[in-house]
Amino acid sequence: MRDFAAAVRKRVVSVRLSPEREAEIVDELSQHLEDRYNDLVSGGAEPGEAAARVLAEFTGDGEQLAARLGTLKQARWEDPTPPRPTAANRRWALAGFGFELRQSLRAIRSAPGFATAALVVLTLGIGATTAMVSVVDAVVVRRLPFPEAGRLVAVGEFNFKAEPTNGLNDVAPQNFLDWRDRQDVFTGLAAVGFAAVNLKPEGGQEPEILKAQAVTADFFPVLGVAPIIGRPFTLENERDGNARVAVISYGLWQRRFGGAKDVIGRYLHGQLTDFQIVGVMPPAFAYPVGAVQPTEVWLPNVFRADERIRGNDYSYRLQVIGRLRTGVSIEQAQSQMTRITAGLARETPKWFEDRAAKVESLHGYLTKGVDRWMTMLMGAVGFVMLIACVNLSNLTLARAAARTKELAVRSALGASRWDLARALITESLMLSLIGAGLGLIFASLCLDLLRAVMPPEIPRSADIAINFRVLAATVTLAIATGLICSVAPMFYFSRRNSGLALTMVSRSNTAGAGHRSFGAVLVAAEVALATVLLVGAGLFLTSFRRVTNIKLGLDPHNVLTVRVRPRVAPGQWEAVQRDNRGLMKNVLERVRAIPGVEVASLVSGGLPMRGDFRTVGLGIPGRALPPNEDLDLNEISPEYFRALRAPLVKGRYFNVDDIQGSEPVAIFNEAAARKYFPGKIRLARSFNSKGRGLSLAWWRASDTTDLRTIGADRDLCRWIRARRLARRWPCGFRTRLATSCPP
Amino acid sequence: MYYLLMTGIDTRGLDRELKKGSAELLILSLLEARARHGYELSKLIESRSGGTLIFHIDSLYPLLYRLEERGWIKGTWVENAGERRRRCYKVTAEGKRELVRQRETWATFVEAVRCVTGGEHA
Repeated sequence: MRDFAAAVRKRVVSVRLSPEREAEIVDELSQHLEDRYNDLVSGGAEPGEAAARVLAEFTGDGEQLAARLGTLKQARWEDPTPPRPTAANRRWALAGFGFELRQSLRAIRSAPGFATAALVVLTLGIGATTAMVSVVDAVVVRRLPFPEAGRLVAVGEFNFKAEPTNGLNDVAPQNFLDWRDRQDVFTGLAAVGFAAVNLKPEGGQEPEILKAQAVTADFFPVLGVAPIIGRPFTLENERDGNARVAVISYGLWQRRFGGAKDVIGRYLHGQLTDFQIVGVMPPAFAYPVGAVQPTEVWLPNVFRADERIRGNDYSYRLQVIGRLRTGVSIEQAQSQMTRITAGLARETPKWFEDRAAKVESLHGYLTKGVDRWMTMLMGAVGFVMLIACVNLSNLTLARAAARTKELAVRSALGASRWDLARALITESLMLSLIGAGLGLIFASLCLDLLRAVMPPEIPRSADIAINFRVLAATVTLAIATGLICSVAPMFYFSRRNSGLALTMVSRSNTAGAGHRSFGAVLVAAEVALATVLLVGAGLFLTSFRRVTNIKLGLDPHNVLTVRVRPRVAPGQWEAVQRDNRGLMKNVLERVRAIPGVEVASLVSGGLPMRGDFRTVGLGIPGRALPPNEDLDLNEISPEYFRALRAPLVKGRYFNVDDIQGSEPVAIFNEAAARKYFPGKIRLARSFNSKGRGLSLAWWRASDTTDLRTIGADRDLCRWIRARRLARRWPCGFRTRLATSCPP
Repeated sequence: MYYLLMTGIDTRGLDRELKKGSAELLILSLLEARARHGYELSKLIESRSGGTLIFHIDSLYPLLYRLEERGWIKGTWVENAGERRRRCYKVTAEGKRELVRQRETWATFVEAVRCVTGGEHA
């Protein structure tokens, strides 16, 4: 049986020929053997003998065939289709990968100094970047957790005569009601106002101050979230008499009611009134989003009768949110709101002398003011990461120079250039991933610190965490870092390809010119990046120094504050309320008795520099003031200004004679005094308060220096209504205590 | 150490020819007249050299493919009725120029050897 083709194919199968060319050669050579066979048979040989002889000749002759064919150009054919993954070669690949990992681990462990330095650099770089990405992701980037959040907008008023004019201010109830009635670009327009619920102690539970919001009927539909139990508010609830209902958060339901199924219809017993629970929100619902102290109760916003007409009283107290109808853009909504407001201005011009309506995305509204500096911080951290990369590249380059001998031996033993590159990449990636793991731990610690020191005004700060997206970003960053850092040694070895010959082994390992020049490039890049970072840091520090040098009007050193929230035994709440003044006086005296306390005082209505303040309307007999002249109000005890070391410009501080029943007095700051009593400052000016819930009518003014209530970085002139006005103590129950003592 | 100087000869080409036993020259010469297939070439070399030169299959075909890659010969498949197809080779124009050059080199070499080995005359 002669099968010359099979014999030939067996010889040439090891040659890298294309399948077509291999078939041709098999055909041609087997024809040659066939011809030889035919000649032998023609010469008288038996067919079997002839075939055996031909095959024997070929076996003898064909020994060199594959080797000789292998030197041809056509024997360099590359199979364009990758081999099908079989279980065997998958195991082989995994074994190869495992080998690479073990080799890399061994290489890292063999250079503990290098590994430690690299991991420190990576941990700091990746950790800082991950922490910052977490913050930016939570505060700025992440979409709002509401259905179709892109359609949510904030609608506000802005003073187009003020500088800057882009701020979105709160809305007067009258304006909100008219906007709601006349608009058709939103599926709903909702208003959010301030509220608080102070729960009475009951059933063994302590009194509790709950963060609350007063919202209109459309609030929950606008956000697209319905209560999981019960119902949202209706328009009827916006009227006094129908408003003693509440929707509570999932957390409050669990904490206060133990998740009771029959919570609907039960009551929240407040100090002033009781609220019947009509709904419980889902656990993930939060508004404002990610607040450090989440809102737990939503009450109906009640529009008083005077807020439904456009009289002479102005109260800008509502945040307004809306959901755009499908297909309506923000620009179209803005256009309609501008038209509506222009129509209202024609009807009541004095309401709109300096006011207009503005629509912007709710996401933008909530992150306004922080997105820019967050981006700057992100950029700064990015530079730090780049410096870390360059630093690490330099380290790996130095290590590469030291490993020339090792890699030369591997090359001489048959490792291809790709084998060496793969080893370097694997090692670099392994370092980066270990660094990423350590960086995540470092970032987690950084986030704990950041959350602790971050101002409560930062939106969504409670949501800051290392989540899946941040994790993905970190891993991507680590891989990118690993790849970038493996470029330098690969470049170095590619330049020294011949240097990988074993003949180079005996040579000195001193870095060559190529290494030095590449290292110089890396150092130059590092210096350039560091310079940019230093310039940025210098600008930051200059700004910070300027802010810290602003005259605050007080001396904050050694001033400690304590929030007082008395614990009241069950059944004694009414008595404690009646004896509020005595309680606070007792607290104050006991604090004063603490060794080291020089001065102690009570204040309600917000601490300086925190931006939280309470306002009161202002009127001066015989003078017509512009509308909405309200002042920031604090109620304080006599030692308040001494505790803050706020100097008195003229007049006197409060004293123990200013008690209930004596002549009402007040202290103005200079800005307020200049505004309302221009010219020479004279004492004993009279004015009255139109603030809600304040019964004092006639006040006597004296002045202190400007005490900043908003923050040192704000221009005082812009806060013309944010004036310091003080009423004598005793103060309200929610009270802050200011003490001055050594640290 | 003695050096053999030869003028007018491509010494590198000579060295190559000597190493390869002038195999390329033999192939090109046999293909000059007409196209032939591999088995025919091996038979002709053996018969014309009186059995002195034998081209084995593992040498012949790699050499044919190399000459083809250089562009000196061109192989085409020829099909005759009732027979298997055969690959026949013919010399290209470039191959003919190369044949001329190799013949000159070989002739010069043979003449030089003859002059040296031909004996001295009185």
